[in-house]
Amino acid sequence: MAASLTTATPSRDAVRIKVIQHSECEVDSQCCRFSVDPELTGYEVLRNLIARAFDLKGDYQTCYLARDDRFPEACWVPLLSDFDLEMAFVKSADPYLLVRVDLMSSNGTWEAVTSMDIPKLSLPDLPKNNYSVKLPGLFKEKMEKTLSAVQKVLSWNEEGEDTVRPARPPLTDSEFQQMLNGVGQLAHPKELRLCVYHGGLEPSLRKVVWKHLLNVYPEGLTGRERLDYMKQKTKEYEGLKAVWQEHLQNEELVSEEVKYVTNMVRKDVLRTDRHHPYFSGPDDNANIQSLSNILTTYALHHPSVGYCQGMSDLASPLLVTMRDEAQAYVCFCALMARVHSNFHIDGVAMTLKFQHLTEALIFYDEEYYTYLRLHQADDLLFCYRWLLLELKREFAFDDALHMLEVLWSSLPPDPPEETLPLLEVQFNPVKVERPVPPPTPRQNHFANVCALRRQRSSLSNRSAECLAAILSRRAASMECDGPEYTAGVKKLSRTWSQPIDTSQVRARVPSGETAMTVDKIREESSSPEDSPSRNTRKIKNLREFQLLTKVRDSDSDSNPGSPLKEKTICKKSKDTNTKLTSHPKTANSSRRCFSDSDATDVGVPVYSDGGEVDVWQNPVATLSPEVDQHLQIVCQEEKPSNVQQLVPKANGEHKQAEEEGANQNTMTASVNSCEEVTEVTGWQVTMSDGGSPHVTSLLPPEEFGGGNPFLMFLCVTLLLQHRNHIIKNKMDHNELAMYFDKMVRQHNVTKVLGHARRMFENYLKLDFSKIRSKTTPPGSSNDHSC
Amino acid sequence: MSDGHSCPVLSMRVLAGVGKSCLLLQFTDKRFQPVHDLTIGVEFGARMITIDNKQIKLQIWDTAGQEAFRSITRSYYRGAAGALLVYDITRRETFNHLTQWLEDARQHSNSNMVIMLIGNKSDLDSRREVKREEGEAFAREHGLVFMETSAKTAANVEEAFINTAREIYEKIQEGVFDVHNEANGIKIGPQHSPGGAGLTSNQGAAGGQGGGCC
Repeated sequence: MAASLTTATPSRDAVRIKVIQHSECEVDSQCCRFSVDPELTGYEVLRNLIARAFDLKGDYQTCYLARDDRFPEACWVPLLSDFDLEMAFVKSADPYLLVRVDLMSSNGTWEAVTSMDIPKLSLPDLPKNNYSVKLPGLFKEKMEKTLSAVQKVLSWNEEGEDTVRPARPPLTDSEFQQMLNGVGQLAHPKELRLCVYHGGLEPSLRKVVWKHLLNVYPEGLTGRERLDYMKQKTKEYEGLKAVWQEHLQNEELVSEEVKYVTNMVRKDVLRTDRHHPYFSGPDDNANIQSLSNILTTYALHHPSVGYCQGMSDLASPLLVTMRDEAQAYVCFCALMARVHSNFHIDGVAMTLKFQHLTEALIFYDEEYYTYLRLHQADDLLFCYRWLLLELKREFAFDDALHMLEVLWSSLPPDPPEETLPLLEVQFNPVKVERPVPPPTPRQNHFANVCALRRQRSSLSNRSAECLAAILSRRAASMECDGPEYTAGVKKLSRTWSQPIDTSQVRARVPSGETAMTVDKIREESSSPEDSPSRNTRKIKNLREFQLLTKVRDSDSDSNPGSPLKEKTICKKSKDTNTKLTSHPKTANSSRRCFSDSDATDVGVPVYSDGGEVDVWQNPVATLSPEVDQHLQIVCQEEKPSNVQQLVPKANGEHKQAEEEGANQNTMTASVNSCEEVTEVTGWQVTMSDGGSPHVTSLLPPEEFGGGNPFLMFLCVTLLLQHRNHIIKNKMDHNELAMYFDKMVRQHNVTKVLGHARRMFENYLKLDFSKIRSKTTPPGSSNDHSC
Repeated sequence: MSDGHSCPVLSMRVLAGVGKSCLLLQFTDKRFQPVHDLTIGVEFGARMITIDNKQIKLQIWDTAGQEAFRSITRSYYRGAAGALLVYDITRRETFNHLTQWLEDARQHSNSNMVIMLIGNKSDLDSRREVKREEGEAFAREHGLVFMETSAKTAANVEEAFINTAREIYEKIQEGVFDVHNEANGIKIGPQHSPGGAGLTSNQGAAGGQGGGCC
């Protein structure tokens, strides 16, 4: 390290930078110091760092002090590009690179608050957010002009930045009031979402509106009823919390589970958003305790989910916004109703999201994907945090609040039927004798996802073919999924334009449930042991899911030899949340029980017992009621033809399925851990009869991204924004991952949202029915431009 | 990025467990951050070091601290040339898990993987629960190199990583590692200078238990 610094060779790994700031209207100048990796820090990144360090609210220029052996007198040289910065690193970084920042604006509105000062403002109720949305917005608009020049050079965005639509200003209180009727009912839920989607919320409105966006309230509550509802929920929460807190105080009775969960949560909340004033200060900060209470209460009363790392990141913005533990808990339950499957140990939901992200990347930028493939980064594992936390950590905290409300607003409203359940099953610590499965070490969903994705990447020359095979089969499967596709398109295209009948809304499943859509789903028959409303379906195509579910198949199926045996999927519908009668079995058999002391059962998956809730929900079953209604109400003319299509093609599909099944006989029959998943490689060979990795279509919005399509476009945007930098610097998998790691909390929310919105809107214009009928190859070059 | 410069590259992967992110940050950025973000998934670090006048790039993989992360840890062992086995001297339970981690590391790595035992948080001597002698004894018994470090004061952090890298490098020179097999965690870097083939080595360091970073 020392050697590389003194020789000042380009290969050094860190460069110290001192930034001083001059302003025309300010007498005092400021300075700050930091170190950057010259290999990872481009001009844009540096500007971003500087803007954050000084909290700059206006345009500014940078120059650096050039030192050259030949010219002993140092002079200021403009720093305007990546090239300049590279020269600066090479020539003038010893002992540190001195950068001067000159503010362009004369209004002097910039705030001289460095990021270091923020934690000191520890007043929890400081109304610090009042300016934070407007001014950065202005600043970023200006900054975008500057950046657009750079981007044109980089040309990652062929449209250029001048087409950025000015986002709608944040929704104000008076605008929101207009969406309520005389008794305070939310009369225009879709308009509300549309407004928030385009412009976000004024920070002061978040506490009220987030509960609507997160689907906390059942439909049609008046203002008074909402207050009563929240009072009731608060009481309910206090009760849930009291159960484990009293239990915890009883030294003799306290169970290992409670100790384990509280310890895990404690460790993690101490490391969650501590830079934010609300959580800063000493570790006994009451707000940290609140966050801990929320997570512990949730984990103990939701045994099928438990506590997983990452949840604290999801709960923290809710608590900061609500400033009330009970209300934040209610919001957290509402949020988790949609995203809990991301935390399931089998990693299925996450794997699906990775797959869709891969497809989107291929669809929009095949060349980029090819690059990633060549550099063993096509598993996109570095996006794991993005997907798990829905990008919460990729933006500065206040920016993340804005991004989250926009993201939530992109989803159709999905209010709870009667009341939002705050528990899955009552935590009952006294009944220690309950049949608990032998403690298994905590498997990690990340581990599973990694194993699956790394496996692909490690055989990257095959992975393209394998993907193509998946895609070609998807194309075939689309033929038999006709009505759903139609319904999906209609549903989404009408989301903003046409109020949906109440009966439909009630029939709607939570978007989190539709998240679990598979590529190929075919109705087979009704399962005898299931209720009439539940169907037995076969899910194929998603290889990962097959691998994972084989475990359970082999446990429960009488015919374990066939890889194509019928797979019973429990439809997890709302009634499982509201009717507790269905839970005891679930809870007891799948309650996660971890023990640090357990060291023997390495790699045994927790999903091996049959009683656990199947996270793979049946999208066809859950969608069906709505599909029918839509077909009748919205698109009656299309229904007959689609239904006719369905029958013959489903048969053809069936044949193909069996052929595939024969091929899959080479697969290992059971997968007991991701270790074994990694070693099961035979299936890739069987799939290598595909063509090039060309994606000609994307899934319809209710399926894409596991029911959260906008998240996919946000992720694709992040990937594309750094495309040229990555390719130019020939980053490999490690370097890419590090590069994006270092971008944590630093992405430009306005730019990212703007670009993602454009992509999303163009995507919604795609004609999924054409894709379905396969008469013309869709998604061709004119769609390619995002 | 490996473009342009004829620097032999050695990469190191670290999967750590106890104060791991802090240890890594101290090594790569030379700073201590008492409050570090909870690691989600895997984070990455890299630093160029110089051994025998050769520029070597250590690539370090730092996994999330969630307990029983073994299945993922294993898949990283496989691609690693070295590992740091880290425990927290102020928490005995993290020391008690070392045997398990070590077995796992040995079982799932190639036999030549260099493993170093690290007792972290040596600055918190007043809260010490594991004696230095115990760490030494464990290391002796299992043939590991032992060191106590402090991510906070930076004591021995540099040494821990660099000694591990040096040992790997020696093994490479002895021809113990097959540099053409990436499963050993060593990758030939871009060859820009005659005779100066780049060496990339992935060194994995597995952490002991306990996600509580610092």
